[in-house]
Amino acid sequence: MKKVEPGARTTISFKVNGKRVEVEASGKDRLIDVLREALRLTGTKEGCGIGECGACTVLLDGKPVNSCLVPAFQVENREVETVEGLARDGVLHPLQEAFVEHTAVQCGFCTPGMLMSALALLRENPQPTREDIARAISGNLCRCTGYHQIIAAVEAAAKKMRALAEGGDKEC
Amino acid sequence: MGTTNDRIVRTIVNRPARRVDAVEKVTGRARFAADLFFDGMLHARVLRARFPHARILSIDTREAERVPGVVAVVTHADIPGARAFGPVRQDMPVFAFEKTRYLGDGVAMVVAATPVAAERALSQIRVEYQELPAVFSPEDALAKGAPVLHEGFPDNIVNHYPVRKGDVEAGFAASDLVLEREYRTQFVEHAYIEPEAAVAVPNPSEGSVTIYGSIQNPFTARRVVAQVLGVSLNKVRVIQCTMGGSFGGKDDIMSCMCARVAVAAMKTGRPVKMVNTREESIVESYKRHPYFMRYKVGVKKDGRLQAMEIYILADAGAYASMTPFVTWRSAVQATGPYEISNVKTDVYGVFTNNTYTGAMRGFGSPQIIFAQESLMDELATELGMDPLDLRIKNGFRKGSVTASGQVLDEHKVSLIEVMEKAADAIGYREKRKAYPGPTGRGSKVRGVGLAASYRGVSLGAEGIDATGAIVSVQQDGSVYLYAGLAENGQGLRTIFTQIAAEELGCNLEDVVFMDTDTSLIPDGGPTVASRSTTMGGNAVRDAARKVRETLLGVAAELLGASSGEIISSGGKVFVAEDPARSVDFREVARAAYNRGELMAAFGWYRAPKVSWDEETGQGKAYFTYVYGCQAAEVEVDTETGKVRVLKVAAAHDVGRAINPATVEGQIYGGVAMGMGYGTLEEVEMVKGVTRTQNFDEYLIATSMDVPEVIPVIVENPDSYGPYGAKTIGEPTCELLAPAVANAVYHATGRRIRELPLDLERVLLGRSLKATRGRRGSEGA
Amino acid sequence: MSLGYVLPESLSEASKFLREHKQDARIVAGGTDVMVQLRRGGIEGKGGPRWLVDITRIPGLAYIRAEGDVIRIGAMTTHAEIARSPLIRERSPLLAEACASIGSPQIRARGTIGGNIMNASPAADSIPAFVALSARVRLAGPEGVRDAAISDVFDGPYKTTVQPGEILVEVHFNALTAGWSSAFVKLGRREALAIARLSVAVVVERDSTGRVSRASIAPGACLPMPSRVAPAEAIVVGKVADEEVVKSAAREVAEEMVRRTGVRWSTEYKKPVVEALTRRAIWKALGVDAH
Repeated sequence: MKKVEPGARTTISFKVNGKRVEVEASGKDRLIDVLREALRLTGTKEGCGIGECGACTVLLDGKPVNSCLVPAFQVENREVETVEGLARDGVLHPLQEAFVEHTAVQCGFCTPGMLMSALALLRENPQPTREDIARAISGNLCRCTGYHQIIAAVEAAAKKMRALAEGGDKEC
Repeated sequence: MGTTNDRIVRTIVNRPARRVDAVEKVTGRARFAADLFFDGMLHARVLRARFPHARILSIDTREAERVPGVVAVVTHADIPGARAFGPVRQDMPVFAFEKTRYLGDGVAMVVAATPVAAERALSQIRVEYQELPAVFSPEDALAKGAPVLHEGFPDNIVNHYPVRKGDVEAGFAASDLVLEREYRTQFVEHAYIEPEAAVAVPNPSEGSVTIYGSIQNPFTARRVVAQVLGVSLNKVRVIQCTMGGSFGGKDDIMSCMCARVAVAAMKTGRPVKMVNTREESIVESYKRHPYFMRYKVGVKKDGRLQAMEIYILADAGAYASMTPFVTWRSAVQATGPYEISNVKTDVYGVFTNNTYTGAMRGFGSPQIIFAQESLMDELATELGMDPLDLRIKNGFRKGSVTASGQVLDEHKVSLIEVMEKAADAIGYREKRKAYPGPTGRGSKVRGVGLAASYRGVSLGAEGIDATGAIVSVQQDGSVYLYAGLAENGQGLRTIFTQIAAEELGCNLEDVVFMDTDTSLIPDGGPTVASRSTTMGGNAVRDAARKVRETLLGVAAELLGASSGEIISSGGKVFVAEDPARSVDFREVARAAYNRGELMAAFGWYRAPKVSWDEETGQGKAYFTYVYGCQAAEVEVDTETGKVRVLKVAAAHDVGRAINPATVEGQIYGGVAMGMGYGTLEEVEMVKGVTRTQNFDEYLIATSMDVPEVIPVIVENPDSYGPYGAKTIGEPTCELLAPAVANAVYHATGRRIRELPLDLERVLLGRSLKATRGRRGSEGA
Repeated sequence: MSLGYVLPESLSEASKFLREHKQDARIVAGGTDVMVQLRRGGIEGKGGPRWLVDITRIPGLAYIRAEGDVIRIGAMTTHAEIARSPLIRERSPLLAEACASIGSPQIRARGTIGGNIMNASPAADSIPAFVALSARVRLAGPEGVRDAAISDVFDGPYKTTVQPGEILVEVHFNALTAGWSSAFVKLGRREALAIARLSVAVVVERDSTGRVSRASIAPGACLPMPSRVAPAEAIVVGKVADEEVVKSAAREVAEEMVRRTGVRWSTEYKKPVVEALTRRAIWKALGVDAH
């Protein structure tokens, strides 16, 4: 049984955006602390600390989670995806493209979490209705946009990704 | 300046454009203040007041200083300069001294190597208090013998604005019907998703400090920091980070946070960072004012308004902050956009031991519009008229005279146009007839309602209203753009970039908007009052035009034409009559550089003259106005009190939409925020204690709550705005609450005169407190 | 005081550690409640646990399966898994609906059914559904395994009767078979991220004549301890449901609430509303659109 004494720190190893990383953590550290402080992946934001705003959403083994509610030790040997992993070789992911095109970004603080929730949706459901999209991002609060342009962007990205997939490009 | 360029078809403004900051934001590369790390950086946490009103007898920091990791504990005693600040009155302490006046007051601050060490040490600070009697409502604060918060304000009145026009008693006497109603609104949180954050980096050799932060108004923060440090303005450099939302909310509180980290950085000689938790943010930060409003209105049988008497108490909370300005706007606009010959308005800001209140999107308008637009519907009901017809009958037209005696003759008065357009878009007239109202069967009933407003653009007679910009073209044709106003997330960078590119004739991609930095550009006042596009847009245009004159002169020589014949557009400079004779914008820039031309210019715009008489409340309050109308369709569950807003039509006259896509974004966002104000949001404050401290209890709309929205952009170009552009940020947020209240009345026959229209108020007609559920722990 | 962390790999390891550390140890799985409570105790967690016992590495606790007519759900099963399980959607749809209404996609992806029960919030969404299903829970402890009726697990808001060292490992109940139907109705202030203001779970069985032969009515967020409302059920049983029957059963639920809680500040609102929601839930269970 792995045991970390109160106040002690120990190394954990997991994958972030496809790369294996090792970081030190203590019992009170959350995944978001490890991402932002230790790995300096500051694209993931903290807005409330209690899993209500979704700004800290990342994918854990492909599922959207609030990284402020995940104990750091729980991600040992698992896979975490953050907003930094979305663009490949400087090419924006279709979701990112669509957010830019559809003015789905205002202040941008909810954007990384919003993108990760949308990504989880599109992987599971490549042909979502507007209602599916609204439900998928319902754990991501946005104070600026009123959500309309975000929903339109996700819809457009889904369409584009389907077209890409039909075109034989299996990436995304 | 009236060159050929002004007559050509515009290629960049008045068209949707990608936001210039979108790519950095979708990639996670945008740097918000909490994302900054510096070598040797310390972390600060604040100890807040234990009592809402108390005398501080002593502060003992010795134990806290001994906690491992702690580098310093800072209190008011460490402040070298001014210990208090404020936009109007310098009554708000950076760290409480002598007294605490609300529970958000900072008493001391620990600076430590880690946030955990800082937090650990907070509990080791010993503060001895003598609790004082406290007061939690304006009514109580005005009572004889009430506790006094501030010396020199024995009656707790922050300010009083009267407006006097005609003779209201005569007006009521001449009326066929006189109606008196009272309305109340709640404390509202800005709920920007990014909590406040700032980092101060000292430069000991110069005795200066650089501050990075989530700061709405960098120049305001700079002034406060300089005063608090007791240094000149040029020793403080404030650089604005990407802002995670503000909505008027990151002003005073950020000045305070900047001052705190600056004092700590100077004391320790190391960079000091502070990031509020959400709970700290909600407890400490100022709110939108709760208003108590009593309206008395007299009307002829045919619906002609005769007189209106208005009495308003605004809860200012513990400090004056923006209360004088907020309540001034309320006083100007309190009657709504209706012609009334006899008006008597009195608006008071009153100190209490609640959280202080200040600027929030709308700035004194959402409250009075809720009252006045509810009142119009109530009046229509009494008269047996349709509410829209009543509004059309009394609504402002060209040449109408406002309550402050201002004649509306310098711009298109589009009130009737926006009302008709919103009503048409939602099918108002048909639905007013089709929905059966309270007599209908079933527990879910529908209704439609609307609300309209007029709104003064920019600061008005509130204060100094001028701002600047710098456009600097480089030898390769790329452009730096600096502005004194700041991006808050609303899209200012994009709008200003569009204007600069349009005027220069370069491509949008060639312009880089530089971070707002107080050391690089003159103080252009605050980014408030929806003034960015009008004021800052004019300044950018002014600067870009000056540079263009130079460039066109150079191009004229290159093309062998006169500069009056030449057009610069889309990266090309060409002869209007013979576009084949053209040269690349970059070529022109290079040539101008090689000739030693000045390729940078400073632009400045000062608002047209306005006036105000404090005694009578008469004058030209604002140089122009915008008009808006929102219509809402709701479904009310009459057995649970649940209101669902199904559809909203929002018609706003923006003068000219520089970027229709971002205008729509403002409308969608403002409607969502307005819906929250109307149906969900309420900071519950019980004896000064904020009970709704996080997003599980302070509820803002989710993606599944927002209605379908039909944005209707109305364009009546204004003579003052750039390209005729006026404003959009705030008007979108001030109309939906009364539109929903009116629709709920239409659906149910229940008139709710208190916000928000939550489950209990709609079902029972009044609020039940302590009704929240909390994530995780004790609740239900 | 800081927080220690253990990751037991078997139930017995976990159980032993929990018994040794009693109040000092707290189980964590999805973290959707525990992590919030830790934060609210401050980073120092005064009066809070010294140890987090992470049970996510214990194998075999996440499953949904049918054994004959009994449906068994492992404690580590998430709300999302239950909400989209074809088995649950078909054979206990009220539970699928209840779990689908919890929090947000992120919360449903992490929050576990065991955690939702053991947090014992009066507003927990899954609990009324389990109570209406007369579910039983399985607890593994140092002395072995025991089963208990779900309503016996609770000892007041946020309090359970579970002993130190006991771990909830499963919840099971009889699947709804032919003749049975169910409904879950929830009222929240928002359409997502909503804590139940009130909820009602209903399960009914009708015989071939359409008469209600058995009924189970369990309101949520209004009783000090989750339970069925027998007097209301008695009104419905043996009758063909009509407006009068349903109305009086619903009224009985409201009155039972007042009997159990007394008149509180919220009663004025909750009484009429729980009545309305119960009426709707019964009709919905009977397949009749109440509006």
